[in-house]
Amino acid sequence: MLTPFITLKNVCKSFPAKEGHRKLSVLHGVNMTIHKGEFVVLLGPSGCGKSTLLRMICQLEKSTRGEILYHEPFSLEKIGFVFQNFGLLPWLSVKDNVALGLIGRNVQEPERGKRVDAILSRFGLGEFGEHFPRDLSGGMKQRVGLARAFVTNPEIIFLDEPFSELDFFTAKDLRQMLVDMWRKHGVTIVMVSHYIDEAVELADRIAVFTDRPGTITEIIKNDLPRPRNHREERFFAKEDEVLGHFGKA
Amino acid sequence: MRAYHHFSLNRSIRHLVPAFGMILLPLAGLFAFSLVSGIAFGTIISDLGISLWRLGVAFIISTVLAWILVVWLVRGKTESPTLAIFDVLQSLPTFTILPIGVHFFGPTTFTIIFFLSITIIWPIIFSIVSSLKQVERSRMEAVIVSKIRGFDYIRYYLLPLTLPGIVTGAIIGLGDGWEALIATEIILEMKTGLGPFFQGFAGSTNMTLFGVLVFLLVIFTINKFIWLPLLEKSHRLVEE
Repeated sequence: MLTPFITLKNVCKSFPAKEGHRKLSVLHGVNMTIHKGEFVVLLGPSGCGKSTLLRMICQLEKSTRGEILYHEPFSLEKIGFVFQNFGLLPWLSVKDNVALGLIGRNVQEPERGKRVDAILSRFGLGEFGEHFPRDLSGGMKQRVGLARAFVTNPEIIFLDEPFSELDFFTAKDLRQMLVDMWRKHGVTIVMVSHYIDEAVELADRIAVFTDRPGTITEIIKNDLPRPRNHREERFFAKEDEVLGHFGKA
Repeated sequence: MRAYHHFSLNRSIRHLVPAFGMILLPLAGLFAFSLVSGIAFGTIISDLGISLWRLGVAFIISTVLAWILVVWLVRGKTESPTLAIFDVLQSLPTFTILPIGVHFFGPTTFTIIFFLSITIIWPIIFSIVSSLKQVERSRMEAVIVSKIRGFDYIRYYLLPLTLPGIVTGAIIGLGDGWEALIATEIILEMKTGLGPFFQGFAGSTNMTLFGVLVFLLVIFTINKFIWLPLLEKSHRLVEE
């Protein structure tokens, strides 16, 4: 039985007119329910408002119209966020970057240190705790970003195109790592992507967005068994099904 | 990867020689000036120290005030209009305010520090604003999502983020500050500091030029050993 977590009702977003530019409408009439423990991918072309919607759900942005209903009390305490360009603080070590969410939640030492060390080990960063972001490769930076999101044991994690700046092999490894962590922690995941294969590989459900102003044309259930193989016939069939919904208004 | 530095005596000596040279050269200059001018070396050092103290206190006041003002502004809703007002204020010739300072506080060290603070604060303000404006949105959001607040917000986010702005502003501000310091000390007819020192040689171009040269050596040394390394470190801090 699926338990509703967050419901979007006719959510719209527009940015006010600015210096010679007209008012910009980025999202129009978005309706969807996110359930507890599921992996949802918001899929659409660049600029269709997916990232804006993600930020609106976790209250980093305000919606212009419509409602975002949380089926239980919602606070920043319950969320983790992974950014496309990592969002690491360059003046903090890897350990301190990961500990940031724990510091904000008043988790004291030595508990904080233990949790940071444990999550860094899980993401294969055990030896790099004292290093700084500038010492790391893109893939390692994003592993720090993922570790930072998981270390607080959030109920929901938002990921904004987390693998789009990484090379093929690194992205593949990190996707597998993400799925493993999701299954282990039972956390809800909402991820933004513009890659169909990535969405089919990861998601339980895929919300297909139109061009700007973005709206959801279809929510596709993805029940391919895991682990999912990119080379299988049914994987290609699912990709085609998703692709078929693009361009529909 | 972390770079490991191995201690090398040969390398250290190579660095120590120019380093000591840089410190000794201004001192030798000051000593030579003392011999030529007939002023005791101790008096020269004392006058330099007093001027440095005045400038240092003004710098600390300006930096703290500028930082608090900017952080308050950027986090509030009055940023744009206030920055426009600041832009006008920074263009105001600061010496026009000097008589007001003298009227209220007299020709005192306090007036000099007050006047210097007003001179130094503007470049620091605008450099800190620039640092805050350049922050990547994701870093800001990461801090929000992490629920970092209060003192932790200052310690883990605001202070390191604004450090390059503080250092850049300080270098520009102190440049203006030196100029204003000596002029103010002369105008207020102070008995101590570099102003009266230079005024004493107003009739001798050679002595004035010699004094300026030694003075430039002192400033160059301070920049070389304090501000330039700080500038490099602070900018490196925010590189990812």
